[in-house]
Amino acid sequence: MLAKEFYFQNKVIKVKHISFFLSLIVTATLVYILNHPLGPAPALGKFLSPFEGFWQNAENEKKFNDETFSFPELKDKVSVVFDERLVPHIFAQNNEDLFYMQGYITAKYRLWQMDIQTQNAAGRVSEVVGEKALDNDRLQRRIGLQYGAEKAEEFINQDPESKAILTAYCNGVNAYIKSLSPKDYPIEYKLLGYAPEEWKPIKVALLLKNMANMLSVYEFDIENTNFIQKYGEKEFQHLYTEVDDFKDFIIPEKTPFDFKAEEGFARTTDKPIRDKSEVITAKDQPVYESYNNVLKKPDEITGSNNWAVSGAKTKSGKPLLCNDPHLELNLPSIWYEMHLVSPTINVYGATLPGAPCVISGFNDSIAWGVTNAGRDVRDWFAIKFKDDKQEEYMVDGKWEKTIKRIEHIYLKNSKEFLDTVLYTRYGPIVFDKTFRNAKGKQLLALKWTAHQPSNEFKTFYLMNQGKNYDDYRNALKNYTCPSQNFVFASRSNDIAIVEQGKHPNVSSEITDGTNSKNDWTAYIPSEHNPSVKNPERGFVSSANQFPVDATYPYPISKVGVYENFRSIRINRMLSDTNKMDVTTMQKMHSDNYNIFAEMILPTLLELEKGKETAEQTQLLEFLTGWNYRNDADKKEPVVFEEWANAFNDMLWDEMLDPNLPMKRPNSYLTANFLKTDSTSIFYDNLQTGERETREMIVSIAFQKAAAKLKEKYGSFDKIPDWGTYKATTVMHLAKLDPLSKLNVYCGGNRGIINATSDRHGPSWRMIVDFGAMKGYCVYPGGESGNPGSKFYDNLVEKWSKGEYFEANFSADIETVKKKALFTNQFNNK
Amino acid sequence: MQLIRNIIIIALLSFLLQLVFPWWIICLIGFIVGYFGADKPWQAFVAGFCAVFLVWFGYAFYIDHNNNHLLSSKIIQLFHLPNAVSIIIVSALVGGLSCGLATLTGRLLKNIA
Repeated sequence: MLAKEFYFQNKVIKVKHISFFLSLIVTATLVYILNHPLGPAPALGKFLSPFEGFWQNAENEKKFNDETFSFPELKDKVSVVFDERLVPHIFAQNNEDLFYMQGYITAKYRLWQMDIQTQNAAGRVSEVVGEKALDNDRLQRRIGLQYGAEKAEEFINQDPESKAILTAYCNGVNAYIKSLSPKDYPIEYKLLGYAPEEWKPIKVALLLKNMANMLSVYEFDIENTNFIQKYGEKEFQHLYTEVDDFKDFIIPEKTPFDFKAEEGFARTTDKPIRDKSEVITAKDQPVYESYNNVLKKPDEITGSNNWAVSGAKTKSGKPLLCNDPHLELNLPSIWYEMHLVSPTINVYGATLPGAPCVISGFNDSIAWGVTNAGRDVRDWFAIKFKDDKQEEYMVDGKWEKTIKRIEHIYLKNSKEFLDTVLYTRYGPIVFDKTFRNAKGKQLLALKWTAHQPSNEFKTFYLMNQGKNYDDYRNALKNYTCPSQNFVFASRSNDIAIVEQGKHPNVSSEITDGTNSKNDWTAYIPSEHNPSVKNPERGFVSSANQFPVDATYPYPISKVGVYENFRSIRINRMLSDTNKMDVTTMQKMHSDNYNIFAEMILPTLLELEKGKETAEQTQLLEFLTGWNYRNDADKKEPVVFEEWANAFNDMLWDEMLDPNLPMKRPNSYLTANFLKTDSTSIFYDNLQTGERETREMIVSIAFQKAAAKLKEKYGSFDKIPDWGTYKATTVMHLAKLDPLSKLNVYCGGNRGIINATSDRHGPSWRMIVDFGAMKGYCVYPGGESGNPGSKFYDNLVEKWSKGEYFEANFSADIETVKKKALFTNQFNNK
Repeated sequence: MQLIRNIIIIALLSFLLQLVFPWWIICLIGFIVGYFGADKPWQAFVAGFCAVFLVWFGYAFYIDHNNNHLLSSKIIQLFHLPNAVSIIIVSALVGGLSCGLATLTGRLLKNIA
């Protein structure tokens, strides 16, 4: 038997006291630990409790019930019918109720995604994940996304109609947020241990700025300046200028324009478009010496396809319209499919969760879709400060004051980080000694159309209820940034395309900020943007290519950032085919023909001939018989991809100088370079002592590719097919593999109409047929953002096979209800 | 008998109160039942543990069944667990242990009160 008490320092200590306190301490410690996050793991007690943890996000897959809700904020009754794919069909009696409910329903299925995307744009991820996001947050703030969003919000508020829609939408989102208790939060909040916050109009503006930051970033002023400094203006023109024999512009060749350029746009053909007499020449230009001081941009433009075919070339005699915007493939998907109906609206299409209206879609009169224009809308101005205090800088011989904007960044541990950003008349100084230790001789200010007041939502609001071509053009007037090619078709048999955005007279190199003449002095008026209506050839199309030929009265910088491959293929297919129908369009969306391979492979094979080993002959013969299609079940694309990549790395090794950020010419320019220049100094590999030639690096690249394939797969017979090799991933936004869709088997690649690479691809495919007045859509995701729902990623498979769903698009609620999974009824009392 | 009675009381109360209160309410319930109702300390622990283990296991199992293991199959990958049942058991253990210890503490308080 144990003693029941003992003595310690002359005091009686009873065992029962000790056991109670021990038990209490153990229990309290355990509960404390289970109620708090452990490193990256969530608070386990909370997270694992079936009453409030992740289990609450595991939806009942077996029954779906009709429900009725009461919302006194509504003006009238609203019905929301969810179809078999969980696409909501919202039927409202007025537009405010419609957008209120769009906000409510979107939040119900996509809340976390809306929240994290805007927090990222606002530079507030540190609040959620802590200090590791601080650098990202500072960058987001310093390029002025929040600054631009504030201006946009102010501007939107000046338009009563826009303000009313935006307010209604936000009220709807907030009504949903308010209805939640912690057990109802989306699972990501539970994993990361935080809570949703009120949805404000600024967040809608931030979403737009987020898009601008994804799509309107194709300027390489610093990289170009660095290149010119090292290799000279002549090589720059040679390597980076759009090639003359490209003819597949967005606006068909020789389309006449009935206007002249406004003042401020001096016409030069292939130089940066401003009068550069006063600009510091590249020779004595300051440059940044680290890649940390250059904004990251994809080497190849983030692309998309759209086209419309006139009734003259279709089976039905009415137009067909297609759109597939290519973006990073993520879960929850960037798009949310919706059908919105009110007495003045009946629109269907892809919405951007967190913002009102349909972005790419159709109504019963018109259809429209977007591709990225990729026009340069940013400039970097070299700033001359008076002294180290950086309170004043020189413009036209006078000192102007900088404005200090203090950014308050809150970290997860509730500490605050203060970042001072200097603003000049041009815009913010992004990199300086306080941020990423900018080692340039002079600091640069960023000017960007995304900083300017704008109201892009008005465009979509008007487009959603548009009836004809005039409505479409009128809607576009409000659209500033990111510049997009808006394709259009109407039931009344018009087709058109406009490259819409606010386009200043920009420079392709760093600009001298001490002279105000170098500032943007003019913008192309909206009605002068490149456009064409009902062209003779019977179709309009865009795929991120160079927009227009020299008949266009305004100069457009020919420094090549454009992706011309897909436009060649699209135009070839659309020209060659008549009597087109929905099936033709579906086949086009899934077309895997590789124009890059068509352009480059014969030259590669020709140059390589005779240099291979007996074993490698197998590979070459294999490639010789290839039909240039990147189909999922083919092995040739794997070999081609490895060879082309190895060649590209060797050819442009000059652009890998770690102390001088430069950009490689893109694949289209590279393909032309290989074919037309046989003696360039760039064929030389800097790593070796000898001087390489074109033939040599083609051959070395082939050897490297063959060696890599052999090492990786053992023998050439075991090379996997393209779909397996490419392993397309649709990744969860928090980069968690178990919540992602890995190894999606499909064909395609960059530069191909089916632009599905490993992480990018058609984020939304839409076909509208005005003959039958039907729409067909599919996207790589699902309507629910909840990984615990069967609607989370259920569309991916059909998407990967190039199949579609028919949109249940009727203004009659009873027709829509025939295919309903369940209905939500919202009463206003 | 007393053990079974305590299990039932804790199970019922924890099921009902967890619909409203955070998960740690199970500790409060265990503590009170342990103080007023338990016989021996080990029985107190067993009562608290079994009650919440059963409730959490049962509820999680029910949810998982209706969900066709869709979410649990993803969560087990995050936690490096082998199968859906294991995450149900881990959940139930966390709840059971917390309540068991709290019930024991309640019972031990009675010893000195």
